[in-house]
This record gives sequence, C-alpha cells and structure tokens, in this order.
Amino acid sequence: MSSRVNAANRADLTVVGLILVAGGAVGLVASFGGFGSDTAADEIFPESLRDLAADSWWFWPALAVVSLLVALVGLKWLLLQMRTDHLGELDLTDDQRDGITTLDASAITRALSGEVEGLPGVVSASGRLRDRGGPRFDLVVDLTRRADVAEIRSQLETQVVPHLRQALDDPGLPVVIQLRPGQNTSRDLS
Amino acid sequence: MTLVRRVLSVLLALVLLLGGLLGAIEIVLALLGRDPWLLPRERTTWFREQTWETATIRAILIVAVLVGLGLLVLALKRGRPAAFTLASRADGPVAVTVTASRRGIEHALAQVAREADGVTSAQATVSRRRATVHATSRTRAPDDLRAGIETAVADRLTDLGLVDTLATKVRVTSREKR
Repeated sequence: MSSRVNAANRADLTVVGLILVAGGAVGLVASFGGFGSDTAADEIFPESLRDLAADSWWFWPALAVVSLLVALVGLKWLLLQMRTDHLGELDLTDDQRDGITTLDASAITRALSGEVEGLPGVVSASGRLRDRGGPRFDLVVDLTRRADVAEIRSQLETQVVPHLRQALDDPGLPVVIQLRPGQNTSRDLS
Repeated sequence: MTLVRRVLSVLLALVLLLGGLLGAIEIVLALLGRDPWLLPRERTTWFREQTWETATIRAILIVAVLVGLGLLVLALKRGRPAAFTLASRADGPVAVTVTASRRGIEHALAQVAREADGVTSAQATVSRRRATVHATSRTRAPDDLRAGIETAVADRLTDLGLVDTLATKVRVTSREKR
C-alpha cells in the first residue's frame, strides 16, 4: 500500500472525526441548554432559515452545489485508494533528441530475484520499483530459520545492490531491503 | 491498522459520494416539482419539526460524537511497526536501508525459545520498543529456563542488529507432566 495514500487516509479520517466530534458536541451543548433554554427548545431549522430558503431563489441551487461538492470530495477520496506508487518502467532517456529509452522494470526485478534466491539461506525474493518522489527499489527477502542474517545482508549490500544499480544505470538509486527471517524451514536441511 | 483505515476510508468516501449525489438529485427534483426519488418528503418534514432537546436528536448527536471519537482514535493511533530499520554498516553502500519485518522477528524469536530444552511451545510479540516471549515448559524450574531463553533471544536480536532497539521480556509458564 502506498504510504502517501496511508498518510492521506489518516488526515482525512482525522478531519471527519473532528467535524463529527465538534458538531456533535456543540449540538449536545445546545440540546442541554448550554446556550440558553430558548435555544434548546428551538427547532433545528429555525424559522429564519426557513424564511431564507423560501424567499431566496439561490438557496436550494446553492445547497445542490454544496451537495455535489461533497460528492466530489468523496469521489476524490475513493480514487485515491486506487493510487499505487508502483513503477512499471524506468525512463533512461538522457536527451530526447537521441530518442526515448525506457526499461521494463519487471525484467530487472525477475533477474534480481533469481540472483538473490541463489544465496544460501534465502527462501524467496521479490523486488519492485516504486515512485517515492523519484525511483526507489524495494526488495523483500524471505530467509530460512537458520539463515546467517549478517552474511546475507553483506552479500545483498556488496553484490546485489551494485548489480542492480549497474543494470538500471543509476549508481545512487535508493534501495530498501526488507529481511523476513524465520519464514520457512525446508531449506535449512539443504 | 493500515488495512482498517483503508476499509474505513473507502466506506466513508462512498457515503460522501452517494450521499452528496443523492442530496443534489433530490434537491433538483424538488425544484422541478417532481416526486422525490429515494428520500420521502415526510421524512424531511419530520426532521424540520424536531428541536434540539428531543430525545432522538440527542441520540443522533451522541452517536456522532462517539463515531467521531472512534475515527480520531483509529486515525491517530500508532499501530505496531511493520518493520524495524537495522543500523547501517560502517562499510555499507549509500542510500541502502535494511529492515527486518516485525512478523519475521517474531517468528525468529519464538523459534529460538522453542529450541530451548524443556520448552513445549513459545510465542513472541514485538512492539515498538520491546520483544516479549511467552514460553511454556514442562520443567519445574521456569526461572532457570527463563535465563537461558533470555540469552538466546538476545543473541538472535544481536544477529539481527536489533539488540539496542528492542528490550526483551521473557515469561515462562510451567505445565508439569503428571
């Protein structure tokens, strides 16, 4: 899941929560006479508001527009959930006058996964190129129960990452490696 | 927690989208003098006649506050981390971050505890600052066993590079064979 989507969801849920708490609290204060007993006995839609709705031609159309804006906010929030930061291809173009060069990321990730899975103590590996304000490579490595974590880490950092950066022609490509130790025991015997 | 927030976000987004569309449609139908589509006019008339002090309105307001508080808790609560960042190696390459998954750490620590003599089962849970291991043994001296498990867990955390990140707590429950 995209971290940007997660952060946006937290912010949006906080806003909705605050609106409900604030609105509900103010309403309860009015209900229990906090703004005076006259206010508590008032209708929710007071006569002044009903007169405004009856006398102003723009009232109901404006309310319809507000309603549509609410629907638009909902649609935008819904579409946000489908956003992904997965990068399918990498743009290697230096100068567009020479043509456009792109690299299919899946080919690199397949090759890299194969290289990592050949290391002792590794059960499986999967990689993904993401857009996190620039390309970033995420590699998840499942280790056996008895895997030498320090040694595997060293091999990943000194061999696999340089190969990856060379293949993508990006010596400074950020890489995040997630190790998942103790996932499987079947290869402990091999 | 992320998944719960995601599901809630989808539901609330749908409520806003469908509610907003329904409101706009009903208003336009009313302006055109047509019959309402889904919201009966009697329902809105009923709502207009309520005062702030009626029981139904108070109940709605209380529910709104409770739902709002629930959303705030869900939005602001920090769940357990999915992974822990390991310390960089002095000779490590630049721009490389290595993490260990929380579940993987829990599996590894539970396995280490299970390998101790006399332990019949073990579970580990890892929070932001602490790794807790619960082990069940058939010996009568769980204190002796605990020291051994604590050492093994600390060694495993050292292998993972997390011994300075996570404090350890080991509990051993004795279930004697009769």
